[in-house]
Amino acid sequence: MKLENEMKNIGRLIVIICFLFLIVPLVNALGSSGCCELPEGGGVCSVIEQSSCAEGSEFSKGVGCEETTFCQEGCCFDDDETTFKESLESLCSLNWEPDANCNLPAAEFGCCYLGSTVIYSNKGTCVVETKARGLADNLYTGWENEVSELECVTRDLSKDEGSCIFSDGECEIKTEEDCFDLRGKFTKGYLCTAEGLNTGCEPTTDTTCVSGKDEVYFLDSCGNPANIYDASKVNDRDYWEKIVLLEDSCGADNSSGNGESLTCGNCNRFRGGLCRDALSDGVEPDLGNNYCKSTECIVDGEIYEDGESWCDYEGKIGEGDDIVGSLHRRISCNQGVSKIEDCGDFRTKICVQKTTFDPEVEGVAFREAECVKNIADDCIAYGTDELDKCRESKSCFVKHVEISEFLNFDVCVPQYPKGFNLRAKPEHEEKTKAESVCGLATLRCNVIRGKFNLQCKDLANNECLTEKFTREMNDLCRSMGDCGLEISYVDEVTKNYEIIYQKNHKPSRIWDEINLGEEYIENILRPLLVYKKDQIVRAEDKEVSLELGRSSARLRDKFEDMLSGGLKFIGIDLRARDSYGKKISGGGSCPNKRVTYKCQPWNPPTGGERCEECNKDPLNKPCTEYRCNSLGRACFITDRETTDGECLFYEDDGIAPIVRAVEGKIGENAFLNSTGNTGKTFEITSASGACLDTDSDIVISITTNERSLCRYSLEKDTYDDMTKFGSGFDSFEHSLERHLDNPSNGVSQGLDFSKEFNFYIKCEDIFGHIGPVGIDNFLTIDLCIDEGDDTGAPAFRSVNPSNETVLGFDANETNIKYFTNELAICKWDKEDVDFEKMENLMTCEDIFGQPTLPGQYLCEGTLPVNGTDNYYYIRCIDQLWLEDIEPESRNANKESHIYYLTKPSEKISIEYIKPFTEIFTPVDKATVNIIIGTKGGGDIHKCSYSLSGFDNLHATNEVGNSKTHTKSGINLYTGIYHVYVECIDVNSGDTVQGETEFTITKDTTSPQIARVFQEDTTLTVITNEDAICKYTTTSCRYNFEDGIDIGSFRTHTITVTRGDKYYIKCKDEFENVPSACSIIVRAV
Amino acid sequence: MVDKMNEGGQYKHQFISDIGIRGQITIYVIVGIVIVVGIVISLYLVGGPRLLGSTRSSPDIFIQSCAREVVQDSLEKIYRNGGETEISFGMKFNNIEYNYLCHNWDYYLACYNLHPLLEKQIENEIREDTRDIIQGCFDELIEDLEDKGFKVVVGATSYSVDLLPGSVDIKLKRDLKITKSDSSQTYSEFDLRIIDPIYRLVKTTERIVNSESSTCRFDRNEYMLFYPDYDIDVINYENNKIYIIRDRLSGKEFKFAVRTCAIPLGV
Repeated sequence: MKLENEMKNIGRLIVIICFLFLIVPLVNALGSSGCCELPEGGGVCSVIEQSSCAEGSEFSKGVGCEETTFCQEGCCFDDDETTFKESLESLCSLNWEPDANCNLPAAEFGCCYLGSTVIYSNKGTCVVETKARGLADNLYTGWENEVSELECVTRDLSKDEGSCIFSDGECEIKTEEDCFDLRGKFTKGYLCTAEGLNTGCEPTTDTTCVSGKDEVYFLDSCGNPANIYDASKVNDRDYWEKIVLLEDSCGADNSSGNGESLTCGNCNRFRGGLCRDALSDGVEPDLGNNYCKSTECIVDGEIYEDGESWCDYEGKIGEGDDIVGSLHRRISCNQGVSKIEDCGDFRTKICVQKTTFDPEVEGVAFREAECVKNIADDCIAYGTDELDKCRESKSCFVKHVEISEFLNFDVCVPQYPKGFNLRAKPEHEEKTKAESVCGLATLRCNVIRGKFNLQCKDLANNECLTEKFTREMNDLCRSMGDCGLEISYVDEVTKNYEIIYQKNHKPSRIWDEINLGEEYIENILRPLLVYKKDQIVRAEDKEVSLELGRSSARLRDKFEDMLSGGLKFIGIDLRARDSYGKKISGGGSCPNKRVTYKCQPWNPPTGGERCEECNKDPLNKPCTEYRCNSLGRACFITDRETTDGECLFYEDDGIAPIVRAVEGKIGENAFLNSTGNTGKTFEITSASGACLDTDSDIVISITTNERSLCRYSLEKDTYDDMTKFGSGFDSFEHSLERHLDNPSNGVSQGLDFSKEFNFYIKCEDIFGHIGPVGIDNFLTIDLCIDEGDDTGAPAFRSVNPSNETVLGFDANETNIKYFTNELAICKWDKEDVDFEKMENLMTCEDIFGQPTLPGQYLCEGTLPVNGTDNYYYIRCIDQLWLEDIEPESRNANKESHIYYLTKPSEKISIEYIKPFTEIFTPVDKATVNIIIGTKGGGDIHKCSYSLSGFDNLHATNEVGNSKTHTKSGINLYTGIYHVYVECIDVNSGDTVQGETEFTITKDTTSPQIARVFQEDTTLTVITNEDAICKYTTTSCRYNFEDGIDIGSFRTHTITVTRGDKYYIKCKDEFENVPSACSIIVRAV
Repeated sequence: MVDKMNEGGQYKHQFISDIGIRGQITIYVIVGIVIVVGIVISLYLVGGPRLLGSTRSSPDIFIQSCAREVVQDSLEKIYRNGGETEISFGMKFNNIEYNYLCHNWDYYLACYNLHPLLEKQIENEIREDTRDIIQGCFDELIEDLEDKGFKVVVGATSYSVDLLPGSVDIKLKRDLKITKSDSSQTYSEFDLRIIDPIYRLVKTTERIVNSESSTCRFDRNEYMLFYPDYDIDVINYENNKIYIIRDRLSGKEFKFAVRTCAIPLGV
C-alpha cells in the first residue's frame, strides 16, 4: 500500500512536471504579446508581439490596449476651442483632457447664425466663422445652444432680413445685426430693388442658387439675391419691393418641393427639390439657368425620397437560407442619384432596414437602412441550454430537426449565415475553421436493431436510412454557413456532404434513395434565388438596429473555444436522446447500424467559365472576392490594391495534376516508400519492413503540382465514388489521418477486415482534369497490419474535461468523455482497484472501425464531485465481443489512469460596482467608468455589464489576474441608470450577477454658501460642494481670476479686518461661478 | 460752359459753340500736357515701373502670384493624401493610396483618431511644404533685381497659413527694401487669399472621423441631407472604409480611409 502511494505520488509528480513543460512555454508564447503604442506596421495602440513594436514605443506585456494608460483616450482641443476630438494624449499636440467623449461646455454644439445662413457648431467655431465673414465683433450673439442640428439647418432666416445700404451706396441683403456691425443702413423686409431706396439695383431675369439655402432666387442687377424665382412675377414690380417669405412664395404647398418645376424656384430638399444648375442637367427653365432639381430616385419603379436608404438582397434571406456568394447591400438616394454600398464581403455585415409609416396616407413615410455586424457566430455558440436567449436574438433562430420519433432536437443557428473565405491566408487555418463550423452539423445516427420473429429488424431510427435524414441534416448544415448541398447566387449547385456507413452495415437500399436529388434542388434550393421584396431584416428603431450588430464577448470567446477545442467533427451529440442508445452496441446478435451525415464546406463548381459574370453585373454591383471565388474553382479576383478588382480565371494547361506521395516517416513506426520506378506505387511498412502495428496512427501526405482536390478508396472506384482525401479543399498538399484497427478484432466479430489493403488515390485539378490519367490508373499505396493476437490493453488517448480541470463551485457531478486507442469498455472507481472490481461502468457506444474521433474510441461517464480535490481511477478492457466466448483473451489495464478534478474553495462573488451615487456634469452628457470588483473563485475572472438588462451584456476590460474590471469612457445623457453586471470565474465557469443604480445630473448652478462664521480675525466660509473661492474688498464687479484666493475644497478662510466688507465668489469644478457675489460678508 | 434748362425743365451741359478752332486746339494741348504731367508725377510718387524699369511685374504681385501657385500645389497634395502632403500611414485600393485618419489594427475595436487637430495640422503641413519654395520666390525676385542693378535689403520672413470658410488665407510678411541711386521702395506685406472649399471639407472629415472613432459608423445620408453642398461616397474594402467627400460647387474631393471595428473575414 505504501509503495502504491509512493508510486501514485511519483506519478503525480511526473504529471505536474509534464504539465509545466507543456504549459510554461505556452504561457511565455502568449505572454510575449501585449499592447504596443506604435506598431511597426503603422497606426497606434494594437495588441501585437513585442518584436513588432516600434523601437522606443511604449509596450505593456500581456494586456489589451484599453488597460494601458498610454492608450487611454481623452479630449484633444485647440487654443481657440474650435476643435474637440477624441484622441490619445500622445497624438494631441495642444490641449488634452481625460474625457474621451469631450463632455466639456466649450465642445457643446449649437446653432451659429452667420448672416443669412447658419451652421451647426460649437462656440469657438462660430467665432471663427463669424470673423471669417467680417461680421460682428460681439461674437457670441450669433450662437444658440440646445438646438438640434435639424432645427438649426432648417431655420428660415429670411424673416429677419432686409436691405443694408452702405456709405458707398452699395446694397446687400443682411440681418439687422450684421448690417449694424457693417455700419450700413438697414431697412427691414425690403429688397435692394425697392424703388424708394434708390440703390440703382434693378430687376433682372437671372436667377441664382444661394449657399446654405434650397431655393432658386431672382438676381438683381447689383448681384443680390432677391425673392424666390417665380416666372409669373418677373415683371411684377411689387415682387421686387419687399422680401416675400417662403410660405407666401409660389408652390409653397407643393408636395415634391417643386422638383423639376420650370417656373417656380421654391425648392424644398426635404420634400424633393433643391436648387441646381439647369444647364448641366440639360433643363431649360422659363427664366435663368437654375431650377429645383428633383432629389427623388426611381429604382425598379419604386420612388425613394432624398436621404432615404434601403436594403438590397440577392435571394431569400433569413432562416439560414442566405445563398453562397450573395451579399447584403445598402442603397441610398441622394439628390436624385442612387448609390450602392456593399455591406461587407462574406456577409460579415447584414443590411437592416427601418421603415416609418405615415398613418395619414397609409403608406411608407421614410426608409432608413444600415449595415450592421453579422453576429452569426454568436448563434452557433449558444448552447442547447440557451435556446430562450437564441429565440430573443434577432440574429439567430431555433431550428427544429425532426428525423424520427427518437431523433429530433432543437439547435440555435444564425438567421444569416456568414460566408467562408476559403482562400484567406493562412489557408489552412481558415479551412480548418470552416470545417469545424460545418462539422457542427455532422450527425451520427444509430439505427437500433433487434430480433423480431427470429429475424434482425430495424426497430428505431430507420429514417436515418432514408432521404429524410439527409434532407433534415442538409437543411441544418446549410444554416451553419456555406456548407452542404447548397446553391450559389448564379444558380450553381455543388454537393458538400458525405453519408458514411459502417462497413458491412451499408443498407440494401440504393444510394439514390438516401442522397438528395433534383427534387431537393428544384423545390428547396432554386426558390432561394428569388428575392421577395417583403423580406427585409427589419429594425424597429435605431436601437434595435444596433442591437442586431452587437456581439457578445462571452459568445465570441465560446465560439473560438468551440473551433479550437475538441468539438470538431463530433457534430451534434444526440445519442443521449436516443432511448435505445444506452445499450452497448456490437457483440449482440443484431448489431445496430450506424449512419453519419457529414456536413462539409461548400466548394465552387469546377472550372472558370463563369468567372467574368462577376464583372458584368446587370445592376452594376461591384465584384468582390467572395462573389468571384464562388463562381468557380478556377476563378480569382485581381489584387484590389493595385487593380480595380476584376474576376478572372487561371489558364487551363489541359494537363491532369501530377500526384506524388511524400516519402518518409508517417507514424511512430511507419514509413512510406516508393516501390518501382513509375512514381505511382508506394508501400507503408514498419522500420524493419514488416507490417504495421495494430491500433497505431498514420498520416499519409500527398502533393500535387497544381491546386487540386484528392480522393481515395480502398477499391478501384471511379473518382466520383471515392471519398475525400484530407480536407477536401483545393490545395497543393493533402494529408489523411488513419487509425489502424486490429484486423483480427474485425474478423473475430465476423466482419470483413483484411490485414492488407491498398489506398487508391486520384486528384482533380481546378479545371476537372483527373490524374493519374486512365480508369485503372491510380496512385497506389500498399499497406499491411500485423494480424497477430490482440495482446495489448486499451491505451488512454484523451479526456474531456481535461485532467485537473476546475469545476463549478456548485457542481455535484460532471460528465466526462474518455477516449482510448481501440474499442473498449471502461470503468472508474474512487479506489485504485482491478478492472473487475471497479464498480462504475462507463457508456461505450462506438462501433469497431468507426471511432468518434480519428483513432479515438469514446466512453462516457458521470462522475460525482465532492469537495475541492477529486481523484478517479479509470481502467478499460478491449474486445468486448469476446465476453462470452473467450473472456481470457481480453486485455484489461493493469494500472489505473489517474484523473483529477477540482473545485474552488469559495464561489466567485461581486464585491462592489461603481458608480452607485450621483454624478454631476456641466453639460447634457457625462463620461462614466463602470468598475466592478470581484473576489473568491479561481484566479481569473471576467465581467460583463449592461445598462439595459442581463440579456445584453458587454465585456469590460480585463487586466490579467486582477479582480478589478473596468469599462471606461461610456458616454451617457443625464438621467437615472441601472447597471447589470455578470462575472464569470474563468476556471470553474461559475457566474455571479449584481445590480446597482446611479444618477447623472447636470450641474449648472454655482456653489452655494452653506455656512459662514468668524472666530477672532478668521472668517470661515463653507460651501455645499468643492469649490475655489476668491474675494475682493471693493465690489462684486471683478473677474474671478482677479480675486484673492481663499482656498479650494469646501472650507475657505480669510484673515479679516473688523468693519471691512468681503465680496466672495466661489467656482465649482464645472466652472460655474455667479456673475454677482456668492456672498458679501462684513467682518466684526 | 453754362447750364441751361431745357424744355422739360432739366439742365444739361453745353459747350459754347462760338469758340474758334484755334481755341479748341489750345485746350486740347493743355489737356494733353496736364495728362502727361499727371502720369509722370503719379509714376514718380508710386515708384514701381520707373524704379524697376524693365523688371517683371511689381514685387508684391510677383511674390503673391508665386506663393499662390505654390500653395495651390500643396493644397492639391493635401486633397489627394487626406490631409498630409505625404501619406504617413495608408492603404492602397485600385492603385490609389489613401491616408488613414482613423485606425485600429485590432478586431472589434473602434479606431483611434490619428490626426485629432486635422485643421491645424493641414495648416502646418502646407506651411512646411511651401516655406522653402516661397523663400525661393523671394530669392528669385532678389536675384533678378540685383541683376538689374538694384540693391535689395531683406528682413526676416513671417509666414502663416489659415484655413477659413471658403478660403485659405496666407499671411506673408517680409521687409523688402529696393534701392537704386537715390530712389528706394519698401514692401512688407504679401498676404493673399485663395478661394478654396478645404475648410468645410476638413470640418466634414472631422465629423466623420469623430463618429467612426466613437460609434464605428457615420450616417452620411443624414449629413448630406443637412448639408447638400457635399457629396460623400464610401467604399468598403475588406475592413477599410474609404471616404470621398466632394464639394459639389468646386468639384474638389477630399479622400481618406478609416479602419474601425474590423471584423474577421470569413469564419
